Amino acid sequence: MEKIIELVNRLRDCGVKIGTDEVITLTKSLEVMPVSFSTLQTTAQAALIKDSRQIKLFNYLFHAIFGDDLDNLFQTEEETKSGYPIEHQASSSDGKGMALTGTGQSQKLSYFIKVNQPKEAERMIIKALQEQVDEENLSLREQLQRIKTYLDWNMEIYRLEKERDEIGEESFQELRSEMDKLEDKILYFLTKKAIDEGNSKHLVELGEMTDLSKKKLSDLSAHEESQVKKEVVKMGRKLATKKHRKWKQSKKGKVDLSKTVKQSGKNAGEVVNIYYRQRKINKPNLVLLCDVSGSVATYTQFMLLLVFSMQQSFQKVKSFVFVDEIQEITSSFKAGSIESAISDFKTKAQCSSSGQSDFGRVFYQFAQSHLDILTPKTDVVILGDAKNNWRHPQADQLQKIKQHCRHIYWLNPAKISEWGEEDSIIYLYKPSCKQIFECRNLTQLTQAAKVINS
Amino acid sequence: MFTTPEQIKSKYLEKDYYISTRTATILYLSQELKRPLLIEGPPGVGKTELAKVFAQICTSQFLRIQCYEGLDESKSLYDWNYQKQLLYLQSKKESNNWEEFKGKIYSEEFLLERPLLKAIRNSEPTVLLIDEIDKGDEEFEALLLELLGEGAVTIPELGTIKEKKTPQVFLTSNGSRDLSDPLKRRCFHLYLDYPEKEQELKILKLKHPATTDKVANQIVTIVNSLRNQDLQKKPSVAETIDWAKALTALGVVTITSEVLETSLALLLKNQQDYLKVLDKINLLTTNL
Repeated sequence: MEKIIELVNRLRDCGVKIGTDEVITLTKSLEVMPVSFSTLQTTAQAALIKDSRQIKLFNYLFHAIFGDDLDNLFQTEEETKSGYPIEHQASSSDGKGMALTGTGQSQKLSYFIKVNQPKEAERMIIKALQEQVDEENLSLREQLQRIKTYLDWNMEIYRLEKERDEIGEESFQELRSEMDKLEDKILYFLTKKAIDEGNSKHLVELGEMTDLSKKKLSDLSAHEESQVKKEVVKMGRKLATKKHRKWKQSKKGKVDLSKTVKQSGKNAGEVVNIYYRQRKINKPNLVLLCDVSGSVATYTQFMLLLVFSMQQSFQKVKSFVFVDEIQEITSSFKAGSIESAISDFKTKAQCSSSGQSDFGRVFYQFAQSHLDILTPKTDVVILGDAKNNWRHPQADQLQKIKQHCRHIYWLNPAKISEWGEEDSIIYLYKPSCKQIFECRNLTQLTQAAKVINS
Repeated sequence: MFTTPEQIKSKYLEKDYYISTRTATILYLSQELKRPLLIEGPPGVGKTELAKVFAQICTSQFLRIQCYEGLDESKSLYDWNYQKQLLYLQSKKESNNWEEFKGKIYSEEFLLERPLLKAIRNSEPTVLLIDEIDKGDEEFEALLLELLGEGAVTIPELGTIKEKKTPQVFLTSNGSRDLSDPLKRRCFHLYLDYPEKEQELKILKLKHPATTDKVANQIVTIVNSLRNQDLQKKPSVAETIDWAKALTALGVVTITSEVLETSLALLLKNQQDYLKVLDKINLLTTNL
């Protein structure tokens, strides 16, 4: 029971929401199940984890707390050691095999993977862990990176890609999968280390690393970026068709009994017509102002992607990008695909003279040249970190913009703890904004989009 | 009903549906603790089928709600038969006895029972499937909370109606949006992913025994490789089975790159994916 409580607490440290009710459900479940390592894992996962993105995290923590059964790590009961044996790869590769040549860690790692010696590969990982990550103050990501560098991980990935045509897709996928399993094992060891040391910061980091929707958008790898972009487009289309809370008269839909009865009064209580109602689809206007300086540009591309997917949700969308000059890019979105539009703004936008953000100047330019596009039905969304490089905030210009539109929403990719620090002047702009959102990952972007679209 | 997960597993196998021990364990827990089961996973992995087969092996009545945007209590829980009520009022127009019929206007006679209400008022074993809950909206989820948490529903005119016999509730989701925490909290969770090669081979042999061992192995190998590509829509288990049936109908004895090219459309339903994979046809069939 102690270990279950520890598991629950560590999951909560990693950002997994678990209520008391779920813990009680787990204990009740264990009363009806014979307890073994695998049934405990299955039962705990079913009772505590309600989001598929958290399953990996759960597995790391579960194994770190409950056992060192490394042979079964992350394997299901049906998974055989070699459904398509790795030995088969070695023997079918024209007899070339993988002789241990050279002294690089990459070649050793590759050898142990290809001849299916996971224990040897694990020993390398443990050695790397002992030698490479004994420094204090290293983040979890840094520790992972050090171990991978020591193991020549990227070299191994590169080698596999080169051999892909030669060994065939099936073998390539098998070997790639073995690499993924090894990465899981590295993270398992790092998780165990974090728990043993009581390092809750690393556990929080683990939660962010394993759940793509919590990972900082600027930290995504190319593959992860493409996955998140798909999620953003899906979300955008879903939000685009979201119906308003208000009802309107319609020729079909739900019976509007009150109107039907009221109208029957004209005919001495005789019901002549039945009236219907449907949910209204609300379509406001949207103006986007996106900072494209430095790392904020990464967030801007996701924001633009989201708005592009949601376009049908808005009567009119006008998009602007800026650093210290403002430039409209609306036509780029109307023209071609979203990808070409984003690529256009990266390469062709002329929105920077000094190379440093100047929000005050941008708001001034907008107020001078574009106020006519704002109506009482327009929402203005600003994406930026509000780091003004010690320039004049011109908060009155933002207030002027506010007076011409319905709401201003601000999406800030900087950490909330950094707001107002150094040259961040977000709090000077806050009085003009309906709401300011911290917007660093997919989850936060989704929440902000829902509020803006409601 | 079932005393062990193994019993559930073998009952499913009798219905030609292969499930893993993990899935059987979670089904057992859901049944034993009378807790709803939320099944998430990509389309075509057998989430809906899992619920249907459970109803068959339990010989329970099967009730289903297909969720969509705008689904509300009038389609899912109950509605009043307004036309009948109006006719009733019309027929009582001449009567001065308001007391006599005022209580009847919102009574069982005029109540239209929808699947949720039917499920809790049924005294026979019932399996209730709420399919693709992620396609419904958040208001519908809120509607389900009382049912899933307390086994009751509240109809303003009739009061709170408690369940006569707890139905076995399944909810499925393709993960197109996040479900609310209160809903998830009330359920066990099962994630059904695409099966591993060995598991898919077993499924294929069960669903389409006519496929030869050689071709079956080739099918699962290729499909598995496709799922590891960066595709908009990965081939589902259902599509794997369809492909196997098509290849059998064509009399294919081994899958070559030509065979794959001509039948690829059965697996990939997105033009971009199709063109992407077309470039790699030879790679996929190397060393098969």
